[in-house]
Amino acid sequence: MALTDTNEKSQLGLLEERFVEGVGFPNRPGGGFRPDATSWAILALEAAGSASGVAGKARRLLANAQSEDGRVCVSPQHPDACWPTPLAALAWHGAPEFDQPRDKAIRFLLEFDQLGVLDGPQTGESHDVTIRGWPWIAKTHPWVEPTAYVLLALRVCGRGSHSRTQDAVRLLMDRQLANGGWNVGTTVTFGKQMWPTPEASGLGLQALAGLVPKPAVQRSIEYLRSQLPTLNAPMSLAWAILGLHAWQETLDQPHERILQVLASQEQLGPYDTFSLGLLLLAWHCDTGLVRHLEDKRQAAK
Amino acid sequence: MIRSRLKKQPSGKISRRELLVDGLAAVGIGTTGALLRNYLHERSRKARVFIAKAGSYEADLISPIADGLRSLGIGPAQVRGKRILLKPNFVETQRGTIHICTRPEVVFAAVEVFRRLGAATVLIGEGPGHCRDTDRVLDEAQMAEALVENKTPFVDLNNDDLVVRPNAGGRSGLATLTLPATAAQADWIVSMPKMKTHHWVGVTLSMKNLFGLMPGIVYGWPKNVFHWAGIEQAILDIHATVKPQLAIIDGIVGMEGDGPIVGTPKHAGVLVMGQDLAAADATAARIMGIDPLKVTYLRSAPGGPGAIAAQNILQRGETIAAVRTDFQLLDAIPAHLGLRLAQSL
Repeated sequence: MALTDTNEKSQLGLLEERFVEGVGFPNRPGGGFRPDATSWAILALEAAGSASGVAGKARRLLANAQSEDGRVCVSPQHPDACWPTPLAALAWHGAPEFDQPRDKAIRFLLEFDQLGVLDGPQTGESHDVTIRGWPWIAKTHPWVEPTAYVLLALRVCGRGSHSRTQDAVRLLMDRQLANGGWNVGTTVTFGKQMWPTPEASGLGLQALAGLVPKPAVQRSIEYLRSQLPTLNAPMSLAWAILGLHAWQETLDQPHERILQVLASQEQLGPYDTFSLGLLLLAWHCDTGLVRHLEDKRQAAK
Repeated sequence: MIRSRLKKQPSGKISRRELLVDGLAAVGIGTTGALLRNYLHERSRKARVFIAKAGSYEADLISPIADGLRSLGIGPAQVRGKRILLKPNFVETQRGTIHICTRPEVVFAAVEVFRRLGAATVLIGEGPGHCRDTDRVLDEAQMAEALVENKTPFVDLNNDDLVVRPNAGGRSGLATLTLPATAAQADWIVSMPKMKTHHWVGVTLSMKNLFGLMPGIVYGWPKNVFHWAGIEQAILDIHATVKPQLAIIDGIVGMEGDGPIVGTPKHAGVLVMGQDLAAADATAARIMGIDPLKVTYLRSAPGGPGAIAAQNILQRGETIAAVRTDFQLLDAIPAHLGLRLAQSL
């Protein structure tokens, strides 16, 4: 099925048009450079078979944004906001001329120790606060989504057996909610279980796919399957499809769902670049993101 | 004390007696005039807070908000040509609930009031604290289609362009605060929280709601930088730096117990408005049966405890006593202990 919008203009073309020469991808048209949006756009363009050369230019601009120590930050003024680093590593992976920035990014992630890890149980909280995951922002607590991003980057970039990779797996399993799914990373507060979110649950499932036995995440799969028919937002839908496909779940017409959500832009306005990129990835990666990137690497050898 | 003899008007309008007093003071007749001038000087220092009854979200909400603004002295002269940013609370959603997020009915009633007052632009902006997917939050909060129907722009403040400002509060140790460009460019920021208890700081109202103004790409999901910097200090710093102009608190159905997410619905049937956010929050807390002087960040707000003392806030509209609805506080939550307001206050 062709991935077209109602104007018959390809979503791939619309994504390419967001690229700004000499800048990279903004998250919204007219905005400034965003390394996370640029990373997701690169991955999406590659998955969709873009031949425009935009992905290569974007990789170069992403490399220009990398700090000496390997981190990639939201902006130069915000060095602690280094959560886009694993996304940049994923975007550089598979392009040999960018092995150096990728390896620097991976080294930064493996050696990262600017964490607000607590010594022991905290009043009202039930999760294990001593596990060393990764935060959104340096010097704060580790959370589910940035840890999952790092886990994706480490395993795709060949560090699946590193002890820090195991830390990521431990954190995600510790933060899985008893009834299934993940949220930002808070499980029980003052005796009450918190609720999962589809975007964190899909990402968590995708990051863990193949690393833990399926029964260990079965409730999360069931939660996400139950949510899928209700999802109208691009990021949540994309992560739900990627996460479930990563566990070989058969879904009911995922491409039709993606087209429906893409078509909503006509009413709601254009989506963020990272959301568009994720939807394109969900469209093309029908075995999940990690398997897709691994297959691509094998094909390149 | 003169103020204690003044009759409050349910509509929040100034009474004829008050007008007479003002008039006498204006002409300054003898000793009486001096006394009245002192009285007026004292009153001018007091924050005004307006309480409106609103039984449900199906009720007319435009009129009480318009009445409230009028009572606070906000009219076309103050609003015309201004760029207004309304900041509701969409911290996290659960489809079908009405007690977690500011309801669209309240938000769009405020949009309409500001448009009628001649605002150049009325925007809605939020940076959900617990959800990476703002589009999903808007969908589940029943905002997505309402934004289209009402032709109102929405800005995802978590993902906006960034503007770095010196920290004007200086309480948390953060040297600067990074604001979304939309907030930095707004003439007025209107905090529109849900009336809720909070398991870390006691209550979350218009001041705490400002956490959601701050960009997630710089502060995280949740905005954990502020937790490490000290939640209460960060609330005060953001308030001092952002300088919001108005609070409109959705207390029609609030949340009691283990707020701000997994508590239970509580019908209070009120909207609370004020230009001094600490005073508006103090009034809302009293309506909830919570003593604002026991809430650390309210007690530490500009002006100190005196500024939020009951006798130092000019209550307009309904009286607190008429609408007080005690919200459940939990013994298991340390931040709730000792917050209950004495029944006579």
